Amino acid sequence: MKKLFVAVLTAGVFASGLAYADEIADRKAIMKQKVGASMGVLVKTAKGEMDYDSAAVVAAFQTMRDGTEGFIELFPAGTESGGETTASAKIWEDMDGFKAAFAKFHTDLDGAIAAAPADKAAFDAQFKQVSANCGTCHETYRIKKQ
Amino acid sequence: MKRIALALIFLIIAGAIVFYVLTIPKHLDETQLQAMSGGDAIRGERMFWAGGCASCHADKDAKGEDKFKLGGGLALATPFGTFHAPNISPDNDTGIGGWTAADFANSMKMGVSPEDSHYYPAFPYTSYTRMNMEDVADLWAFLQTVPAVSKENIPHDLPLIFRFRRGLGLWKLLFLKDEPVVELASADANVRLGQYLVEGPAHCGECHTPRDLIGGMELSRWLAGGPAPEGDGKIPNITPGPNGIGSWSAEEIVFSLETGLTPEFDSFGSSMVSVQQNMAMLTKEDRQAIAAYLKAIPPH
Repeated sequence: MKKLFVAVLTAGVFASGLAYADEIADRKAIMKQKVGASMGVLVKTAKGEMDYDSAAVVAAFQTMRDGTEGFIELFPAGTESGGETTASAKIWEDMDGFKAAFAKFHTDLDGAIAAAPADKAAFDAQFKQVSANCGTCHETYRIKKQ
Repeated sequence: MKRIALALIFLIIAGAIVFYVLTIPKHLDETQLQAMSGGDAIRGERMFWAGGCASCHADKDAKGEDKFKLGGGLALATPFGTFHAPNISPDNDTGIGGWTAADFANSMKMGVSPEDSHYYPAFPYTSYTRMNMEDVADLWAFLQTVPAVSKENIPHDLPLIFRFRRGLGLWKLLFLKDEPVVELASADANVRLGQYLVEGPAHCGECHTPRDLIGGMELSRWLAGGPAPEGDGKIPNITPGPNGIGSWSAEEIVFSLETGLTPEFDSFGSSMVSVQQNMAMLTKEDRQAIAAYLKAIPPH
């Protein structure tokens, strides 16, 4: 029993250590899986490749909102480079600006979720508002990437 | 001994004369400049967006109408030093309000200033040189309609060896060419239009084509990407090759230029955000032409 306890504890410490070391991987995974996957649904809807489904787009906005909770904490000092990160040094030079940009993304997502757009036209307006954040943030806080 | 000294002096003088002649700034001739009188400001707005003037000459965070305030100021950090985009608003004292149409045409197509010195190629005249005179005239007419901004230019911050502009005359002999970059054998009108936009006004190659040691574009690797010529990071390969965007359909390229969103549901970043906002101001036909051209060029 004691052995098991030590093993679990060790594994726990080891895993949290790994998590700490892997913030770069974590933030990439969030962007790809939570944001990117939701964007798939939203973009296809915007382009008319998918029939309009209000519940599906609200769910996608919600996944994006929940999936990026805490994202902003994944940029501690020491994670400026490595792991093929494309984070710009400007994040650490202007952490307040970076946080404000991300907060606006969340505000716009909250607005889209609350609006629960009933038709394509209402959705297009919300999607435009939310997706403008991608470029605004990446323009300043991400370096050019191949 | 005396003879050797004389020979050396002769060689130095001869070398100086050759350098002087080779680096004389060249200008457009009177016949070419005739087109400058017929510019149309409404048509010129298309060239303003295609040319991306606002991305360097407007304030970095300019949105909407502020993109027409061309007081300059963007700093381009390059391996050769930091260049500061100048004021090109019609302000008489700090902008280009005192320029003639011919001055403008010579700057765009020949990289020569009204004071008759060479511009640094941070100003992408190596691409603008492929523009039609009619388009240059239209752009000049449009630039008369934007607000005058009173803002003094910031001098470039360059190491001593690059401050001597005359030497750029030699660089231009190597790299200032107005023929098309890519040979397109049987291209339709759409692809030709895309070629004109991409290789000329939109100056895509200035970032997306790798550069050699002295800063010239390696045209054999046209649009194949590489280390960023300014700022940090790497520029993507936008040819149809395996390392490029061959997996993007023409429609996806058009969509990305309209929205800034990639087919992988990522977004454009860094300086491409501003470029995309310019591209979104063109007509759909222009964006489709750019996409058709990007599908037609040699893959890398």
